[in-house]
Amino acid sequence: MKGIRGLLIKDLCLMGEIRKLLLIILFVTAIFIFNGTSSTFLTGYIMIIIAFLVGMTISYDEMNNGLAFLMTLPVTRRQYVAEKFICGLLSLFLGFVYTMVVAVIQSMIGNSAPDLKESIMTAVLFAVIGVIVLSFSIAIDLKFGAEKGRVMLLLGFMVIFFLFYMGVAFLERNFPEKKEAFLQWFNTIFEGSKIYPVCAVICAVVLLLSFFASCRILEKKEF
Amino acid sequence: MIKVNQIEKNYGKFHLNCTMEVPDGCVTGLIGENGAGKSTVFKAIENLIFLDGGSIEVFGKPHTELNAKDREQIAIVLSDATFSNVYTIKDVARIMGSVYPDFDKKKFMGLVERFRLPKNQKVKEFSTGMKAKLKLFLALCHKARLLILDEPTAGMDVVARDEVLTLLREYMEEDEHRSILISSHISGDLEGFCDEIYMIHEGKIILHEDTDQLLGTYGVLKMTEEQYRKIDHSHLLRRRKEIYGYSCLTDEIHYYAENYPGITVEKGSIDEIIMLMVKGEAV
Repeated sequence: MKGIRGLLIKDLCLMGEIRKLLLIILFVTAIFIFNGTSSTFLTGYIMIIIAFLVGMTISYDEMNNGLAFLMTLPVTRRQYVAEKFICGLLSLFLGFVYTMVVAVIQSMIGNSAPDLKESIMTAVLFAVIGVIVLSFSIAIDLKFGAEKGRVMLLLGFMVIFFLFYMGVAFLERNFPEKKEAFLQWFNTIFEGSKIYPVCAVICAVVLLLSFFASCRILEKKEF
Repeated sequence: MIKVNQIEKNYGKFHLNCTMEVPDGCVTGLIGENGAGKSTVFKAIENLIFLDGGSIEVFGKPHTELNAKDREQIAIVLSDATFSNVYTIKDVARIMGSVYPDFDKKKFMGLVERFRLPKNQKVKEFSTGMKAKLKLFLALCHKARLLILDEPTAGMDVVARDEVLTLLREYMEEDEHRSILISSHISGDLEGFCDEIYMIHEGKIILHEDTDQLLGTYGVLKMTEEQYRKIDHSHLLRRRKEIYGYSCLTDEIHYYAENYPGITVEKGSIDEIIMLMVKGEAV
């Protein structure tokens, strides 16, 4: 655990470097609060940006061939990967709390009662997307390097969304009743009381798969 | 402390095949020209690359099975890698203190002040020499039993190199069981510091000798072609054709000085020995 703590402190020391990004988040938040942009958009914006933060820390680790140096410390490669996931999940949690506070402020300024239930649900959904982005970004950044990884990640998500869109369009054209059934099923699993266990299962599966894939990638890497 | 047993690593046309040992309480130097395989040997010991053959033991264990406690006992300076250069010395001290239980922050900051490194400046603003000092100070401050130093004096001026070598000597004197494996392209650094020296060329160890022996009995003989034909060749290691005849490397300089007064006998520096080992042909 000492090794992981040391790596977390290392990433914490990078806060000075990413303070510009944090200031941009604060600035954008202020604009969105005062011009009445929907809290859903703001929540999504913040959670996705935060999900990319860990990729930035990997990019800083790679500077000066620093990843090779980190691997000579009394830290295993598995611990390095675990620290990146811990760092990412902690950041997403802080982002979650931040978006909650912003939602409350937004409703107060709009003189409406805060709909906490809906705000929490929105934040949870974007947190799940954040966890998926985080999981993919760690594995891809470790495999291809942070710079190339970012491009690969964007391309990957574009391909996933394209396939999803094409799949739905295909169903609509050939089996319209199945498309309706699929969309209905998709809506029901993200509805009401089912949403939280479904999100928990999705996060757990994606995190575990990505963790083991990332460990394998780093354990096979030469410096 | 370290046993490197017939390790093999292939990179395209480059083939490393190396056996060496770093004994307890000794300073062992690894020398060779650029691309000879020094850094590959270091990276193999540090488990940063995977072997195609052979084995490495550190502290009597396979190098791939060292636990966190074992790794805390090893301090490593890589020639081309360190912390990201966005950190300051204060950040780096904080990180090292949280990774190594025995990190001596007081000693580290003392060295930083003694060598006038700026504490609040980012490492990217440091000169090459300052970065090299920082890497070494980090290695010296967590009470490691084994130092593995790849080109630790690279980029330092002559005064700084001398000061750093003094630090390393002091480090060895603190505990007789400590060991150092060091490489440097400045052979003068190693001459006065190492107990024994390995010379590597094209991935193979071509010479292993005690430094005292190397500097005391190895030498260069300069002679005409006729003298070369007449002398005893049994203690000649390498020869090289020169305008005047031949220059030859020997490991028995006194034998030739006593028995062949007509030839020029020079005590060899490590640079000259490297040159003849690498450029000369076998006798």
